[in-house]
Amino acid sequence: MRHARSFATIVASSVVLGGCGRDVQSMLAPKGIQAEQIAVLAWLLFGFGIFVLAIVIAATWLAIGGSARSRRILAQENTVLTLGIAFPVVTLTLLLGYGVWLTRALLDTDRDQNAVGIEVVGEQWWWRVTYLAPDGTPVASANEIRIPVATPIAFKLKASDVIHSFWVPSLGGKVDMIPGRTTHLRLTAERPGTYRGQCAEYCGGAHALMALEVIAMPASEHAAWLRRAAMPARAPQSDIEQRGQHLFLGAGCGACHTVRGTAAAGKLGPDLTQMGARRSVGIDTMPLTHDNLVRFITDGQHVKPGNLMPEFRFLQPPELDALAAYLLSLKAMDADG
Amino acid sequence: MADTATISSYPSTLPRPRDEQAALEAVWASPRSWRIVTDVNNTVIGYFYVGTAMLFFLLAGTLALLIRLQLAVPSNTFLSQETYNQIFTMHGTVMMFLFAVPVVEAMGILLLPQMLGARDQPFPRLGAFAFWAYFVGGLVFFSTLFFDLAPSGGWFMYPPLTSSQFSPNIGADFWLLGIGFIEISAIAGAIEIIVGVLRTRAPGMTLDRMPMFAWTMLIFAGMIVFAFPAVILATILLELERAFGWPFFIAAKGGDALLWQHLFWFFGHPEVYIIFLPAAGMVSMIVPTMAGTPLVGYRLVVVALIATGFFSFGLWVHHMFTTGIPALSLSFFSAASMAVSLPSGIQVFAWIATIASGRLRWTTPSLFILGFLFIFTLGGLTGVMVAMVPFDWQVHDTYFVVAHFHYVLVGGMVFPLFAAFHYWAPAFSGRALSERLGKWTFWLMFGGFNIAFFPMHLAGLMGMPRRVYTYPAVMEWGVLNMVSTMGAFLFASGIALFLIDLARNLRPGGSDTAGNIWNGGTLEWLHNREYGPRSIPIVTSADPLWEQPHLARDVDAGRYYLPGSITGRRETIVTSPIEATPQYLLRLPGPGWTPFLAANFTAAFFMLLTVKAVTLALISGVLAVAMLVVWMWDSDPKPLEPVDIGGGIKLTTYASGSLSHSWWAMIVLLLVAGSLYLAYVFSYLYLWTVSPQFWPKPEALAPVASAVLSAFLLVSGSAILVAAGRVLPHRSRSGRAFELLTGLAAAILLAALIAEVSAQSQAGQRPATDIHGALVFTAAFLQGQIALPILVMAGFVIARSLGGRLVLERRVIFDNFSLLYHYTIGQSLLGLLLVHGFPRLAG
Amino acid sequence: MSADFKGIRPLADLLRLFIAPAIWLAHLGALYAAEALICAGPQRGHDDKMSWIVFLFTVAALMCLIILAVRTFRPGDGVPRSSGQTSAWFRRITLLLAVLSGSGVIWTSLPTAFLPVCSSAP
Repeated sequence: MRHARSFATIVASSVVLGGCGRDVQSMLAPKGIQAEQIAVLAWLLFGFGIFVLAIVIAATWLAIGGSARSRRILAQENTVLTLGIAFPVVTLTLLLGYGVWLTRALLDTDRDQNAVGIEVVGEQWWWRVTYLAPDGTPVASANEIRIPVATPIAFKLKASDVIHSFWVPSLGGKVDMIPGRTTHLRLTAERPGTYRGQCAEYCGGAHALMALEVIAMPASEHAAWLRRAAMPARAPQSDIEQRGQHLFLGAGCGACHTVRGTAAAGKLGPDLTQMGARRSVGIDTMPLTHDNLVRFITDGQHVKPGNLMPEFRFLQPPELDALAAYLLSLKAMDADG
Repeated sequence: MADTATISSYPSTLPRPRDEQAALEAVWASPRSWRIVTDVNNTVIGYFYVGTAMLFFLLAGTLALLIRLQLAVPSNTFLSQETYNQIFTMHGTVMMFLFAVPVVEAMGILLLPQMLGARDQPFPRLGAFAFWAYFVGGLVFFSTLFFDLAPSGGWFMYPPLTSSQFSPNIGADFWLLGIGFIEISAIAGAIEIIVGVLRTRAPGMTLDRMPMFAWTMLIFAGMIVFAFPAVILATILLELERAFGWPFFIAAKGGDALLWQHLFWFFGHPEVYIIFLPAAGMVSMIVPTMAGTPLVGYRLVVVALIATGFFSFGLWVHHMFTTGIPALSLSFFSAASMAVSLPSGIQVFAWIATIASGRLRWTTPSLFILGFLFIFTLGGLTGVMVAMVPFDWQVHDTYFVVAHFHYVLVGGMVFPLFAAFHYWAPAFSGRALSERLGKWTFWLMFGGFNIAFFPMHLAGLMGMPRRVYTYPAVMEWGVLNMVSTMGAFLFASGIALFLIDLARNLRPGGSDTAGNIWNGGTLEWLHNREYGPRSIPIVTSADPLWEQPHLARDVDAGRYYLPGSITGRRETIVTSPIEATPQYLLRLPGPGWTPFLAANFTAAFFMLLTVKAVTLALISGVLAVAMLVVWMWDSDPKPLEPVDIGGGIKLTTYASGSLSHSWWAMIVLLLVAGSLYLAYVFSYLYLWTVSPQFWPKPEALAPVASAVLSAFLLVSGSAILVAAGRVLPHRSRSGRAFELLTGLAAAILLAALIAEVSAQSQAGQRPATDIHGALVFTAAFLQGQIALPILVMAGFVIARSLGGRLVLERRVIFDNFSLLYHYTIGQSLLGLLLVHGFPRLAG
Repeated sequence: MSADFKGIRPLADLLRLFIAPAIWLAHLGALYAAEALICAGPQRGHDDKMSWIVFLFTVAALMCLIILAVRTFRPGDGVPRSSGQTSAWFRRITLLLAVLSGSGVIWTSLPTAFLPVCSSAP
């Protein structure tokens, strides 16, 4: 079954879709338990759809140019009742039963196991991620979620401003994040990899840029990573990094951003304690490089229009270099990045 | 009336008087040149209406092309983020509210009287008002795009994104007031259509002989009556929140963002079927003609229509599968989605059966119908897919859904509409549209549509969410999007070709049309002019022109009912709703400035409110009401002696009670008001389930005594108005008791409202503090919203009575006022019970 | 004039056509409301109240539909007083609508056999 499905997936992605190389955000390339169950349903539904469409086309064809006998049969009211009521009642009852059974199965998945809890808050237009370290301290991050493989993850989803929707197609379905409510989603990644997700509910302005990455890693690696991530930020090592930290604190960045272990403790924007370990800046608008960081700091309204961060144009190039160097240095010791 | 199935002799004898037809034409003549805006005849208004709706189709279609250009390649910078967001919001809003619903309503206004054998709609000035309100309001709304003031919250405007905090500029207000206002115009049209279909059919056209398009329009209008009030309430609530801070959707104060979704989709899902059903009706008219045989399974199709009308109201949560609602609730709606596919299946196979029982002619309308069958079936099947809850968790809010609803809406509505344009053009135009160009149009549209929208299914499955203004190249959605864009332009070229065809061949307004070139069997294929057919036929089957061979000739010769104008005014026959037995002769109004001006001032009122020009808005509002009063003053003309419409049938010229067509209109209006109020009751109870902690303890509520006092006032108001009805004077006037009692009843309604508001204020309730206060004052607001017209109407009733225009024999104005008044009392009592009783019950 | 006054009979006749699907809608609304209220309450669906409610509502709805359907076989009952042809037509429509609404009612209650009360998405 699984072979048949992956074959079908390959066919779909390479023939129909014109050779899709990346399947990091496709529901047809499931990499999690939930996504796989839904993908089975999807293929079943496609088959059902093609079957019924074929019947309608064939019936129309016969009605227009078929033999006198077939047209006489088609023209009867009883045929209308059979094809229009009896046939759908049977097929749709089967479909509905399967859908409900699958819903039940998805509700029950991993219900009794110890799931890892991660809280994600949708903000305009980024994701505030909070892990719990083994000792219970919250570890804040943004736009990037690291999870252990083959472990059920219980996401606790909230919204701070408007409605967002948390969706990582390779792993499972989406659930909305609604102000004033907490919603829940369970996902289990089956193999290591990086899976892209995107806000699925229109949330204004830069909705299109509100992406996230889920990085599934072996459980042992994940535990080690979480231990490191729970530590305070690395102190600046070089001169330039020190100047950068000085500027960071002096320019008021700390009013919105937190760098654990420093005076910067703002809560409005993303936590930057692990900034240097992230893969991109301004969500995934740009890969994390020195130049892109500088660009976001001075020209952020073009990179992600409407975001809350003012453009720091008064900073001179050497200052920006220092700031960027400092931010890039912010990663736990030995973090792989 | 005798059984209409056998006609032994014609109702009117030949030869007809020499100047009879000329007189009829003179009475129905349209005003010349620019004074045409004062015309109220359904044909003229129908042309304007269809034309305006198509204008919005082109405008919103242009926006779609801009969207496609922006998405053609990854990381495109053709449109800015904010511009794109405004454009997709306007595309959806304009297509749904300014094109789809108005265009089918317009087709109804244009076609129904002709199909039913009536001379006009029963409320021509209401029709004109609805059109002009839509025309002015729609154009102003669209032009916000040019001033960067357009809404950008998406066509379903979810709060809190659209709250004053996250959308501070006035774009959202334009949406709320503008669209709310256009909805009101749609409701006016729906009332017109319901009464028209039920009460102005040709004699003998029983419900089971009614053209299928009329059936669909009846269900369509009925659905509008129940669906639109929900979204009107939602827009009222959101506007109250934006303007005055009443926290309906603010979680911190006990509101809930999901309330909007419930209300919006309670409207929004039926809306899809509201758009689809009339198009299905057109298909049910065109298929039999093109196959040359009556519709197979007429009653099955009627069953399907009624079932669709109801089932579609059980689907709204279908749009909320990802909001974390309990899975069991979701599955109820999943099951309902299955149920609604049954009636669609019945219709599809009934059309196929009809094709099979005849011989399909390969005409342009046939091609569009076949295209419709394919596209709509595919859209319906993806609809079954998204009705499966787990599948929807993946594809919800992706391009898969975008593809799905375009297949349903464009396939289900635009293709039949284009079939209808080609099919009915010869009934209204001196020349038919070109078959050669039409076939090109079809293939360009059909090919373009599928090339544009089929790849979107795949893009969605590959993870592309809807409403994104850009996407990175690494996602590899670029190829699919480029194909879609090319398809969109191909589709647009089909539309352009259609416009060329129109310009070359459409010749509307002349007295000679191309005629029944398809050999259609229904009454719109009689020789119709502004006043419909020369004489009003007796109908003995569902396809009268096929079953009654000389009907067209005889109707045109004036051998049937009402071959001329009897009273010297525009007039039509009112018949009974089920059996279509002639009941009375309705005298219709002619051209006049009041509907046009009233519509303009009403539009000005709403638009000026949006830009916070309150004084000017109020002046416009007062002028609009003044125009309505002037307009209503010469309505309800004096009863005349019974008249002979032919065949020895003598009809009265006046009717009151449930016999009157306006009684039916008032009943429908009360259904609208009742739906609005039930939507409020739902909101109240729903918000309680979400935030019961905001409901005060019973001792903190307004005292029971105040509620009892209000209730007593209300009941006595009702009693007083009943008494007023009893003393309604005969022709000879005596005393002023009627005016006094009517005035007193209106004053008491106002007093009860004031008593309730002050009791709540004294109990410390404030609308902006928390959700309970907001809901309490919303009840009062809704009460005031209906009390205000009642005050104006009471003044009008009194004035008419003083002017001798309201007496026992001419009492319809009072009867309708009474209906509204007693309804309002009932609504108020329910409100008191809810606001005072429920917290005590729950606390 | 008053001789022509037939009360609200025509309106009632017309509305009678809509009874069957209205029962379906009422059934759906009742189940949805029951679930919403049970899940809003303090003891959040730890009881089997829901199954009883579903059972009772479904039986009641189906009974109504069956009665409606059976009545259509008796001429002159519950249909407009009009010429024979139209009234037979009304009966047939009512019967079909009862059948359609019945399948809708059964579909709506089907999932309650599988799904737990008040349990949200995975």
